[in-house]
Amino acid sequence: MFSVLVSSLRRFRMAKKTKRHFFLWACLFVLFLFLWCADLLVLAPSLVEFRFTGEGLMIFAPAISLAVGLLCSLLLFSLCLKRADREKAFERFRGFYWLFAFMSLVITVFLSVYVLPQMNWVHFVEGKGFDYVFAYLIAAVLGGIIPFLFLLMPKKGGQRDGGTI
Amino acid sequence: MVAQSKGKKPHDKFINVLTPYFLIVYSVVSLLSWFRYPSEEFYNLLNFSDTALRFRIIIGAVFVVYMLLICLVNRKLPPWRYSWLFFFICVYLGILVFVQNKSYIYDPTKDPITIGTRASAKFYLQWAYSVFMAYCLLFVLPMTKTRHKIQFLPFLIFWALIGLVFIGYSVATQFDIYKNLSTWRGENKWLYIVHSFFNDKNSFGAALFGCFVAAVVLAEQCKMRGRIPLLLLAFVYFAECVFIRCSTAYVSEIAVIVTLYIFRCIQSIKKHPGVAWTFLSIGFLAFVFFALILTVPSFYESDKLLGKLRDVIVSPDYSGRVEIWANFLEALDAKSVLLGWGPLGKTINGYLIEHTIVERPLEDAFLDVFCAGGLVFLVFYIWVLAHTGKTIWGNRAINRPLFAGLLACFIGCIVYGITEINHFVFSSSSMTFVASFIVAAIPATVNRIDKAKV
Repeated sequence: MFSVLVSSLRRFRMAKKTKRHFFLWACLFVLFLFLWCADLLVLAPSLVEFRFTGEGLMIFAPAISLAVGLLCSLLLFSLCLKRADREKAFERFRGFYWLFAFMSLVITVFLSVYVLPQMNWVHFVEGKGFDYVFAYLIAAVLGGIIPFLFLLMPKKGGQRDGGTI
Repeated sequence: MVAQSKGKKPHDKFINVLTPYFLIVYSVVSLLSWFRYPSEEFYNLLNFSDTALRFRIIIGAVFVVYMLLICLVNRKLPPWRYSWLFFFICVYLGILVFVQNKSYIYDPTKDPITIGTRASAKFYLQWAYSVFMAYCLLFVLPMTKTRHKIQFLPFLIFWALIGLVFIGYSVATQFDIYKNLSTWRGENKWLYIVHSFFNDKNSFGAALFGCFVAAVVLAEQCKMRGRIPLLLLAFVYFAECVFIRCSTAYVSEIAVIVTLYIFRCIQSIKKHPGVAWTFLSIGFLAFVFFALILTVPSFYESDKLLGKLRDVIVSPDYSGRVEIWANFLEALDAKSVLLGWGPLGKTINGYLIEHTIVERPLEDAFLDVFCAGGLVFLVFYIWVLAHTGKTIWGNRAINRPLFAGLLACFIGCIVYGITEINHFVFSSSSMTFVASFIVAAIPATVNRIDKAKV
């Protein structure tokens, strides 16, 4: 089983990456980015709710495990994008990253306002506005910055004087 | 060709050369709406009637046309990724007008607060213009680089010196207050209503902060014989802010001074280690002394002023601001945390404080942005500030003194924004335009020149 997995990974690694591959991974990265934002924006209010009422614990375990899974997937897709040997396309994709992140955030916010309350997952604790603003803000900022870190490339340039041989 | 390159420098494009003068005129004309004195009628005309709206639309339109001209003349457009991002945020703010609640019930025994769509639309148009202004400062104006060593020099000189006119007018018209400076014993703190041309000391302080920032940034680009008088001039502006008791302005200026001091010392360690370490040690000793004053009872109880200083730092209420923020945050619900209050926010704030439907500022730039556009807009504002900080950071290898000055001013701007409704970089207001322009456009221009050289 393990050898099959390793060999298929090796084959995948050796295979030539086409434009279509890159497009697919970019789309998946954006989709998972949206899911990651949504997950964090569910986690943030439930944390506040748990802090003040002791309720909302049920959602923690699935939300945290989903967040870890999504983060690993984002890491995987970012590695695929980096190793696709399409530097120009990758730079362009990375250039538009903040636009994608803000679009994800907007969709997630609208989802949190109109869809989540109907599911009765999260209940707003009255008079704790500051805690909600703080929790959402941290979630949104982390939600944007962490996937961006995966897309960073090491700076090019060798050692001075050719380095040691 | 050779003769031309050896002799005369090629001319800069006219629009690029004109830009600093255009910015001077733009900032002065928009500043006129803040001048309450000597003519109160003029102030009312530019603030409270249809003329006020027309005035803002005209100067906004002129600014937009000039930005288009810059793009046209330089045959360049800002990067598409930023254009799309800023456009997206403007559209988002527009959409919010239709999404947000128009009424809010605070007390069931009273009528709900309702706001018409027209008012809210006007409110969001202003925000969209602020976003557009940030876009121009960060990406359009830096295109107008010239072959001069100091970019936008006339603008910087004008704003570094105009503060003297403000102070001069203030001294001339309110000489009695200045005369009592020598007899002042720390009493009657809030009785000093010093205003110069402005409505009150707060707007006077904001204008002086702009002059202070211009003087510091210009000083950091000059040689020693220019730097010393300019830094002294900046100190005069700081002293005036202290005198008029505009605490938000002078605390921000202290933040600028401390940051500049630390960074200039750190930058000099390699070249003049003896001097740099001495000054750093003096700074550290001052910090220790300050900490002792704040923590050891025998120190702060020995003097009334020190006790007061400790109270302000340890348990601040920032002239009632903490209560305003607490009231506002307490009134939030699930929807308003995510989408903001829009135009209702300031009205609710006024309602909570004065029990009437009246607009009251939130006295915090971050909270004001959050109130207008919710979580997305707040994150966007933080992103714009981070992007500005990154641009300034890019200057560290190009021009070290300028980098230290810009970074110090940037930190001062953020400190100002915490306790005052001054949106740096989102500067549709003339009161923050000068500092916004300096912290956003100048570093971007310097970066651009460096990239062009490479």
